[in-house]
Amino acid sequence: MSETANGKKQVPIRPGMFRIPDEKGRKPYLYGVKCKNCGTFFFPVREVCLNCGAENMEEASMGGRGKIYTYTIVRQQVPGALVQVPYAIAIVLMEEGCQVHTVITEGWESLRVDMDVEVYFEKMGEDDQGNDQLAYKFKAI
Amino acid sequence: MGKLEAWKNLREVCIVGIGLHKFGRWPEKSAEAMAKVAIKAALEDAGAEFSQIEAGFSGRVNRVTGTGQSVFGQLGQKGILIDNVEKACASSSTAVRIATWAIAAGFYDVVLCTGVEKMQRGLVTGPVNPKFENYTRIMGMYLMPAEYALRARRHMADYGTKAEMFAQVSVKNHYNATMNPYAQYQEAISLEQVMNARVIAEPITLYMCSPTTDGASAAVLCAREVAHKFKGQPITVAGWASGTPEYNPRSVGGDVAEGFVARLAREAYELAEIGPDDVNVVQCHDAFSPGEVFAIEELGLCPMGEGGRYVWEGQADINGRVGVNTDGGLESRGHPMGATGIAQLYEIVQQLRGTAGPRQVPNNPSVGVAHNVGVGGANITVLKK
Repeated sequence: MSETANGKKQVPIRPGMFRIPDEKGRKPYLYGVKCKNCGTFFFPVREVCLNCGAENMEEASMGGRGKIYTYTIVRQQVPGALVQVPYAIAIVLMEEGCQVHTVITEGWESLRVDMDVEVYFEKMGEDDQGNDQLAYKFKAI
Repeated sequence: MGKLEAWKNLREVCIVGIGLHKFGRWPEKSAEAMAKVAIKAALEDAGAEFSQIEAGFSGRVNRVTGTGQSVFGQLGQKGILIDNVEKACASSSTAVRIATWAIAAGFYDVVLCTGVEKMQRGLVTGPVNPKFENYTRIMGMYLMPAEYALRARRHMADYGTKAEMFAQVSVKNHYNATMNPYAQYQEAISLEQVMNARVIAEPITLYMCSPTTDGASAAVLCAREVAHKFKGQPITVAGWASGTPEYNPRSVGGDVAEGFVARLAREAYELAEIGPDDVNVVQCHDAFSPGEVFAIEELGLCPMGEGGRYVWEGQADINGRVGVNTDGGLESRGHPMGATGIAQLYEIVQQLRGTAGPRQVPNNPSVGVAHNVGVGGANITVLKK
């Protein structure tokens, strides 16, 4: 959680996916878990390894970079969505080896499979205390 | 013991009667009223009385509780076992599989299965992991056709499949449905109409999506050794498989996870003692057009990556190599979720009996396969004459 100039805080729109450091100048980052038994990385966090079944996870921050595994341009507005069409839904294969499901609202017109992308964080709304709620998105590097 | 050995030691099971209530929009009809029509049609097809039924399994997705009791209760109250079965869009094929197990094991000789659904117009909002539901929804990622579109895009990149090839699935299936009096949409559409329709999630347009539908289906299953008591030509449940996707970070996952349907098809073919080359007719889960391309490949009708061309070249046409979705598929026959599984089996039974009329596949087909998907799992059923 970090404080903005006007005294409001930035908070994740959903807990358990990324952290917003308090220190000035440090950017938010995605995090997941790594299985201490087989090394498989998962996002978002989970308790049991889907690869080996061990219950021996450690939290690990993520570099935020990956490649587009696949994507689709959405033109049908999803009820309840804060994102307006057109935009892309994409699956990013991260450098850590896990998938991240994301939306792409910037540069969706020029997406292609295997394109290099990186995470960024954007305000989606405000919570009851007036704090900025951030979500993660991806864009081309 | 293992599945294969167990299966070989059990009794042969067959479908001896099967029936439908026409698929469409029936706002004035109750689920019970539609199911009753389908059940009476199945009983008549079998030449059976309701009093001969020893157990009932009912498939439904919306408002499932008590459906079997009220549906079967319209025809009698003899104290039989009635179970409600829910596996999303694969509910009634699951009911048939459980009935098959129960008869094969010798617990019952004659079992009735139904599937029924009443649906609203518009997007279907299926279940998602509740922990992430809100996030997925507010971020605009909660869209069922997008799952199929995501695997479709990867398919296009890996194999050079064109959007027109997916569209051709819809063209073919709409044409097939013009010959099916039970289908929701009995009008042919052109490739241009499909390609130029409103885009939902590229490359999927509106006409590459199955509609929401009201409808019902029913089947009478029995042990082969008592089939002579009925007049319906028995069609054997020769093999089955059901399962969920295994962990694979290089797959879209969910209903369209890569590889798991191929694994299930191999299992089902092994029980039925067939190979993919023996299959004459297929009904598969074209909830969205690319789903048929994925199924054609994973059922082994062609090598992986060739499914788009298979459809484009007409090999999946009624007069092609293997007729696929000869009744119009989910896209045009309609997709009343709980009723779809038995509707697929209905069509295969007609094809194997040679009673499919103008949509009959040629050359006296003897083996048919149904592929029915329900929220991240799939049922494969092999029927033999």
